[in-house]
Amino acid sequence: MDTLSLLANGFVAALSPQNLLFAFLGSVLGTLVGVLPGIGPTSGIAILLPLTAFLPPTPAIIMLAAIYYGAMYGGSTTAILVNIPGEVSSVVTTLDGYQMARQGRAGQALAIAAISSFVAGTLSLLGLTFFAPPLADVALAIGPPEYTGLVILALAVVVSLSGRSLRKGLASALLGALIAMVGLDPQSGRRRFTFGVPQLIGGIDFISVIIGLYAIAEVLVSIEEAMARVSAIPITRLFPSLADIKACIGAMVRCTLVGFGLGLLPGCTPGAISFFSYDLERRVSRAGSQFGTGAIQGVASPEGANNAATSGGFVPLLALGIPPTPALAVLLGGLMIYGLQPGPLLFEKQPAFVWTVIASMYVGNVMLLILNLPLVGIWVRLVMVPYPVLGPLILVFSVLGAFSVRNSTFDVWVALAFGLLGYAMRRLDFPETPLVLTLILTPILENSLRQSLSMSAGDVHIFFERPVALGFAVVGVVLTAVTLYARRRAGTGATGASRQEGS
Amino acid sequence: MYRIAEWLSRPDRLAGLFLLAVAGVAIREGAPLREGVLGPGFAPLVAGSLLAALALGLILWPDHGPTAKGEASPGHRAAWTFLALGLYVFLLRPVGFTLASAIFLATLFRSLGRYSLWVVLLAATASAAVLSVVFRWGLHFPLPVGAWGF
Amino acid sequence: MMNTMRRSVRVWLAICGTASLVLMLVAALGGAPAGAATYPTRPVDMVVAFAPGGGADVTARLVAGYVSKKWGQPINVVNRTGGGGIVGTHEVLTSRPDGYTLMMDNHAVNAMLGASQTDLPFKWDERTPIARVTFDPVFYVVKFDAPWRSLKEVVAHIKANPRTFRWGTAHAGGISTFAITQFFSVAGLDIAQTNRVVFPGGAPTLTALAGGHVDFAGQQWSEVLGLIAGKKIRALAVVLPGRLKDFPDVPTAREAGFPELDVVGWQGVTGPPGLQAEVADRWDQAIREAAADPSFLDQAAKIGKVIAYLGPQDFRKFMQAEYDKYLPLAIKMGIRK
Repeated sequence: MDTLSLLANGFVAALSPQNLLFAFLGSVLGTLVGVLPGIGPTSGIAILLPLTAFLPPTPAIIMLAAIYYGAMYGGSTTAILVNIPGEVSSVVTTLDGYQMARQGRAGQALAIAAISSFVAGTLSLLGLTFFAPPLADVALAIGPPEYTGLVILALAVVVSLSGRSLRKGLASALLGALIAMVGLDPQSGRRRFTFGVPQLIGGIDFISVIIGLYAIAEVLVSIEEAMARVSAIPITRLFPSLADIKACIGAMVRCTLVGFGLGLLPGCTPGAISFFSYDLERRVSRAGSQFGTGAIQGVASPEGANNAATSGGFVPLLALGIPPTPALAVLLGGLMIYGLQPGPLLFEKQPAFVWTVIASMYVGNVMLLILNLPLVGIWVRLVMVPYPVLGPLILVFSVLGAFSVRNSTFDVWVALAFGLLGYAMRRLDFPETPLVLTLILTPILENSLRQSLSMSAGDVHIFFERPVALGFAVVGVVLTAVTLYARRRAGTGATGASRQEGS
Repeated sequence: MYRIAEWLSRPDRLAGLFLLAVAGVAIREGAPLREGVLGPGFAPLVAGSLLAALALGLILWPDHGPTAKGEASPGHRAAWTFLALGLYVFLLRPVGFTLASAIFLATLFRSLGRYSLWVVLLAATASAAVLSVVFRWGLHFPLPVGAWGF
Repeated sequence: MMNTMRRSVRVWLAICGTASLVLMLVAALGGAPAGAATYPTRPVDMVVAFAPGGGADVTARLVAGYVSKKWGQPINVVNRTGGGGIVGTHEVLTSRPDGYTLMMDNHAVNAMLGASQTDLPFKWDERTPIARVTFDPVFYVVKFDAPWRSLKEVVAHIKANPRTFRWGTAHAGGISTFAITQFFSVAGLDIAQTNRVVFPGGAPTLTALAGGHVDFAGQQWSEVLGLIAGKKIRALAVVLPGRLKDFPDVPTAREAGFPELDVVGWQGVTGPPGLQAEVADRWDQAIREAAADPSFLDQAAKIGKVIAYLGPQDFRKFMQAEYDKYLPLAIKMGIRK
């Protein structure tokens, strides 16, 4: 088949020694940057883009793709080892990953994250390779009413991730919603919650929130409690057993489908998708009841999902020229500088380039697996550094990260403020996951809802006339009800996945 | 007065008060912005109202007692660390990333870890220097530059 | 720790630390300005108030790449996003006018912003224009299989069925809003009877158009080129004096029967108020040379831009003309607040 031969040519190009070198370099840099709290693929690429400026197009693209994947993986590493997600998509990984680390299974967690990412990434790239154009049309059919339905579906996830106390979870969620509203209202351009501060007109930077809520708060809590938290835990084995991997097969397949499918939709970020995947896995998996206490599927699922989501995101990017998420928009900008003209004709007009890019994505996935599995031992040892040294270093990284996003000390102060909030939330037993989830979802919900009503001149029936939208919404309501009922049945929220549990 | 203070000091109640204040701000911000089908004020109003209800619930019916972890330590080390962090950020623009980091690290290494002064100074300076070299000169990360140019 | 650390480790730490300190001192000293050398004597920051990959950003990188090669000094493109461009613009306009912080200005944060908002944290016209560089022309577009073949047919349809007509814009007060508002105004249509759907950017607007969720949009070249090439959307007219080489079948607004349409996107270099004249002149000269360089023009076309150089005085006049154009539109549409 023609596609296969083009792909083969792409591989030949991608596997040249020079390109492999840049793939390796990119993976290392990406991982390094991804390890910084809060700095993920988006900021990583934005910051590292100048480094590729002096390279010819093909190696530059390969390096950028490798940086992207590397940053994603770096984020998971710190999520598992020190309970600090490198960026949004790793937030869910902390729920089970860190618990595994505390049980001495850090090596397995890291390994399964790499393996799951690789499997899901490779499988979803197959989807990209063979089904891109028709899938792109599917993505186009999803409009504002459908997105509204999707977010209603997400409410079920919020409820189920609320931890012990539902009302605290909801309060946390509402707090996240309000934080998302700071800045310009996207529909009308009016300023909300800016209190006369010019920097707030741009809204509260998401990364500062993550850094504050997870990195700074985590250090503050750890410094206060037993400071010898992780370092004293013995590592039992570095790699997952065959039984472990077998147990994850279902999770890996499911997360690939969820990740790829939702990643197609413009506006659905890998972060949100990792939440969805985790929640689905929890409901469906045999080990579901152990989620939150160190279930290995709880790491495999979100990690695989966010890789698959990346591939899914490439479908509208390459086929329609539309970047579905900010991270891919940055990547697209980088690609355009090198002459890539994305759009449906891309596959026809510049096939060699495209297939090299896709091949290098495969290569990038493999590269990360090879690079990181041996490094697991090193990572784990790095964390044994005593906390009076590790903690302050993490704080320095946090400041570094928060500053570098927009080159502003204001963002660092915001991170500090959220650090304080995060510390208070942990002491007072308020779950943080709902806050982050609504922070991501509220803009989507507000926009989609108001867009849908604009489309229909205020007529609510638009939701009932569109089957997909209605479907999502109904499923969402039903799932929420089911979750609420299950919580009631199990007593006071024993099914919740809370970061406080197991502490 | 004492009774009120005691009644208030249940952690959940304090949290509830804070959330009530936030909800109040939200409602105040949202109310004047009602316009159009679903104006910019709609979402703040709805979220604020719901939050106010939840906050009231927390104030009137707090969860029982301190958390199951057992009462944690009073938080002195955390407070000190946070204070040092604030000073660090404050110093970023005047003295630059490298120096500010060195000062911050030295302060915390010494006060949290009780290592000897020389080791602390050495470790802090070395760390700050390495970080600066790697991130600022190596990866071209934008980092604050102080009055003396580094 | 002192006792458990081996001697070799301590020595190693000492060496590392000293070496790094020395390196830094050298770097700091090396970068100090050396007397009365010509500008620039150290790297220049070109601030873009928008995200990487966007229209202003790619133009900035294009210009920065060209100029830094010419002058041998790095021109760093720095993205300072937020508030629709207000945050980055505010930062540049309040920075020191020493020539080392400049801005890739564009239509969105210049006169258009001044016309739309009354309480900005800066005065929109207090900036030093250096040179306009590019145009990013507006295309009026519809879904590929839409029944209308020309702008006139669209007008006829709107007159007949205003209430079911939906048009999409990127943001509430951006260039696409003005482009479509002007279209309605020039065509004598009642905009209030139609449905406006606001999206958070050009990409989601065009995605919605291609998917049939809205009927009409007016977005820029760099945003539409992918979908037009892929036959998902169709352009009915482009707002330019002459047809674009890459789109020989797309009539200009004048040819389509609407010569008064003149909303156009642009990018240019500006600096904070009070910028030294020598700095501005050097930049102006560099951009003028770029605008005559065929390879520069080629690269610009690849990112969907038309080179449209204007020197500082003409640029200033252009900015004022924009304001005069947008202010009445903003007031009429209720955009101004």
